[in-house]
Amino acid sequence: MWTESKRPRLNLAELHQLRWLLGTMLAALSAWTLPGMGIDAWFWLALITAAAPVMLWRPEWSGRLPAWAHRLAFPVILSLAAVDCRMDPGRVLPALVRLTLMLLLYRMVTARQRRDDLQVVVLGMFLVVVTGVLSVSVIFVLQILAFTACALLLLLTLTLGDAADAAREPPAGWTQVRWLALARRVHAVANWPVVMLGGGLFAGLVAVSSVVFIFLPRFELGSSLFLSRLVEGKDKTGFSETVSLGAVTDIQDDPGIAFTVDVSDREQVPATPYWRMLVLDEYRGAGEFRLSSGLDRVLGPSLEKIANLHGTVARPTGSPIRWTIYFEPGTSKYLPLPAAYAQVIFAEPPEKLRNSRELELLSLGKPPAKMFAYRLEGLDFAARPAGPAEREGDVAGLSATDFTGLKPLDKNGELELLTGWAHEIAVRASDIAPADAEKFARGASGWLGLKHAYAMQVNNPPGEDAPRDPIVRWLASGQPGHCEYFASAFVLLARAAGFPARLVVGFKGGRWNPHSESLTVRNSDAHAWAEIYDAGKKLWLRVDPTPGASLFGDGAGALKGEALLKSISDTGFSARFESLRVFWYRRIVSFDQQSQAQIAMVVQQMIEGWGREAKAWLRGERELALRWLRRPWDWRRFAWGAAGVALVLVALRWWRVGRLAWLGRRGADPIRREAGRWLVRLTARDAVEATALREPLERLRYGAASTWPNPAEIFRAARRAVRD
Amino acid sequence: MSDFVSGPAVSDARVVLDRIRANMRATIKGKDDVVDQVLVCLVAGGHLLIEDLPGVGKTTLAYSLARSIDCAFARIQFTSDLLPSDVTGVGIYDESTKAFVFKQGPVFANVVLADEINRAPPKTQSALLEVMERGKVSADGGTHTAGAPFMVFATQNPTDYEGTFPLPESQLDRFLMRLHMGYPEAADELDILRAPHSAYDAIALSPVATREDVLRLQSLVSQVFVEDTVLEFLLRIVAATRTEAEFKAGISVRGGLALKRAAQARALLRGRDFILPEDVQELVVSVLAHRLALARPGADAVEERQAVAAVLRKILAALPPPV
Repeated sequence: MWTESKRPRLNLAELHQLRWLLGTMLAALSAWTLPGMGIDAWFWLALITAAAPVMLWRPEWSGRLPAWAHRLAFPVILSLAAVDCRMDPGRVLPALVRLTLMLLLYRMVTARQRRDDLQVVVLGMFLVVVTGVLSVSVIFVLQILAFTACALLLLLTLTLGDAADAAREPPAGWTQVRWLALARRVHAVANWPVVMLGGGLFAGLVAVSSVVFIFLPRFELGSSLFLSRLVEGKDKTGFSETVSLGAVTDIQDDPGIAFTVDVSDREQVPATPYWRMLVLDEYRGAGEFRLSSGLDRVLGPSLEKIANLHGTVARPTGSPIRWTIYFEPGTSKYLPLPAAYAQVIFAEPPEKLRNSRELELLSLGKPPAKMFAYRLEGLDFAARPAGPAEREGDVAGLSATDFTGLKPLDKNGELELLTGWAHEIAVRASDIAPADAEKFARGASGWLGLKHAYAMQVNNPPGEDAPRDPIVRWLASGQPGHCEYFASAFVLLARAAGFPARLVVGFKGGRWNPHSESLTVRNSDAHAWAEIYDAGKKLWLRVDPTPGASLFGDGAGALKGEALLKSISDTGFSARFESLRVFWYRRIVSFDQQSQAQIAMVVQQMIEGWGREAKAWLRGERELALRWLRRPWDWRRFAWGAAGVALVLVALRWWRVGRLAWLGRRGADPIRREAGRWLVRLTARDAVEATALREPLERLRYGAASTWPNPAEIFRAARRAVRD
Repeated sequence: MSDFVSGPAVSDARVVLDRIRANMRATIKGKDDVVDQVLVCLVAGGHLLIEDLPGVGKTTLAYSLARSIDCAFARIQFTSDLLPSDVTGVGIYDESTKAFVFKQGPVFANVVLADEINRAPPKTQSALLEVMERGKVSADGGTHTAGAPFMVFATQNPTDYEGTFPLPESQLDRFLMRLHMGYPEAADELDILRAPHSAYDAIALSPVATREDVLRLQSLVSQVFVEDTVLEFLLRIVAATRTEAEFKAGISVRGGLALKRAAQARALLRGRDFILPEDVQELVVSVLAHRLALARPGADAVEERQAVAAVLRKILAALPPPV
């Protein structure tokens, strides 16, 4: 009779349903690592994402695919992959990832057997590993945790299914899934101590991994697996060697983070930092500036795998300003630089690097595929790029005249227009004392500001009798414009007036994140400005002619230090969320092994410190207790003592009854559950001794609590009976 | 503690019940499970419906129970011309007192065997059913209390439906259980054949318990403890009959209460002051089957009865007992 009370089990159909759920989830989860890779496979990701709920909703559709479709599936997938490879030769990894996604999709929408489920696990693992190498996003940590848990559960379900029945075919009708009912069934049959044990083991595994992550010296997985070389990041056209009018403004539409910056000295943050990325010299007409081939040479040869590099200013004495920049992928291969620096250090030596001391530019071989971290030491915000005259000995062929070309404007009388305006400006700048670039800049900027207002939307259509060049046309029209118009126009005007000038693109400003205490610069901060050569000082002056900007970008008279940071602080939820990213970057980026060792040491010292404190506290308490005992006794002290003993006794009693409480679920009596478990176990073992135990165990499980025997004794006896 | 039946009371109950059981088994050979069910019904204070062929010992069963517990036994043969007053009794004018005196009918015994209840017209059936429900008889402007304990054994012949008035499901709900006796085993039948007597009232059977014992047992039943998960299990079974497509309608609330009370009685019979899931499981078919009808009726009563029991067993197999 009581032998019938067995723990309920999931039947075969339910196991199949569970397997189907986990497999589908696993496929979707691994597909969603894709955004971390920056590989173009959105079509397949969208398909998989759409297929997952559909296949969960209607599992029976998995069997609907006709046989010929199954036979065709693999040839089609393989030929698709081959075409993919042919179309984009040399880039193997994206094609491989797309192939994996196709296979995942196929496995997702068709009925899976055991080996197919294992295939899903392996395919998913490939995606996760690739993402792990290519990405440094904090979300990936959550993804890999979810993936591991899901994969383990799937393997467990597979094993259970195997143990339950050797038959491979799922029972008919397994596709009639009511997920809510299944969830209830799983909840009912789950062996909670085992579930908790499993959960505990998993948590332990995660904890150990974290400890290993902190203490083990890190090596660069990416370059050792050659994977990052197989992927190329994408470049924003506004920050490439050729910038046409409007390209920088297009970047501004993207609110995403371009880079975040850790600053060493908050007092030294300038009011408006200008992040130089790229300098463009050649005007090609039609509003297009280009890094000319002559200047390209100045960028110097490719340096391979260097960890650090000296800059243009000398290392200051004392503690230098040190900024660490976490450059997000997908912006540019040119690194944003806020000022001249003494040294730049790379967290991971880039494959290729080009450095120009003349232009003060740093360029990676290609846009980074994942977050790229570098540290600038000894920043000098006052220093300005030195002119070509200073460096004539270094570089052949680069002179101030490289920055005065206006060749495309020779025809159509546009040059005359420009020269006329330049003259007008020079006159307005009072005494025509020549060659004072600063004065000219002031005049031109004022002149531009008088004629043109600022607007993001520019109405500058070509007309019959209007000048053909868009910038000259804009100057003639008096229409409002955006930073690119102002900067380009300034460069052309300066050149017409005989001053060497060049266009600079990058970012301007940034917001302070008070949670992570770092600067955040977004793509919407993209900006264009100009540099004009001051022959007297032999320096390039930064000129920001856009209305609303401080002309020489020095932010004179603006706020400083904490007051400044407070004024540019981002508060709110998104800032909090973004601060996580910075915390994560700080953790994973190490410029030397030292910082890691420091963390390890701090952790060790912290634990040791706790131990010492605890020991001292215990010793102190013991002293107190001994002293209290040695004092003469009176009735009050006796009362206190008795109360204490009583309290201990009550606690002991409570513990004996309630110690099983942690095993309980949903408020059901833990003793009843425990008794039920022992009943099942004894029944399963057919233990003869159990007959004597049956009555008390049944009473503990089903009887009134007031009639219970001592549970602890009964359970002990049951344990003994099971062991024997 | 006072809410639940106390330990000594339970062991007393068990002793009494064991005695009755042993006594009945001496007469009803080879039908131990039937005897057990009858005792469950007795302790739960319910009434029995026995659906079986004539001559398999239904009368003997009822009589041996009545004798064992020292109770009055009456047998009413239901026929198509039986009147309600033939069952309940009738007021008779007494010349000496110049007043109507209520003459009690056979229903005023403690154990009443209503033989072939489906042969009587509905009016007579409902007269009996009213007594079963209320334990009282209303006649001639007076209310007369039936015997205590009071238990009805009603029998139906499942194979012969000519000229009968089958009880509707709503009426069947009044019976706690429906039993099926069946033929005895060959060895047991040989024993029966060997016995010298053949009429049931010739059986020599001495009482082993008193009416007070039985009443005390009946009062103990409601104190048998039912743990919450077991109660939920019971409710799940009842609820499953309501969603089962093969049944015309599910079990009523009264049916659920009956199952609980029967399970409590069975626990008492086993000497327990709490019920186990198996108490519920074992009683599901006998307590619930007669309250259910198939949505698509079977060819005959026997076939339908078997189909209903099979569906109930299927429901039970799908519902794991609480562990």
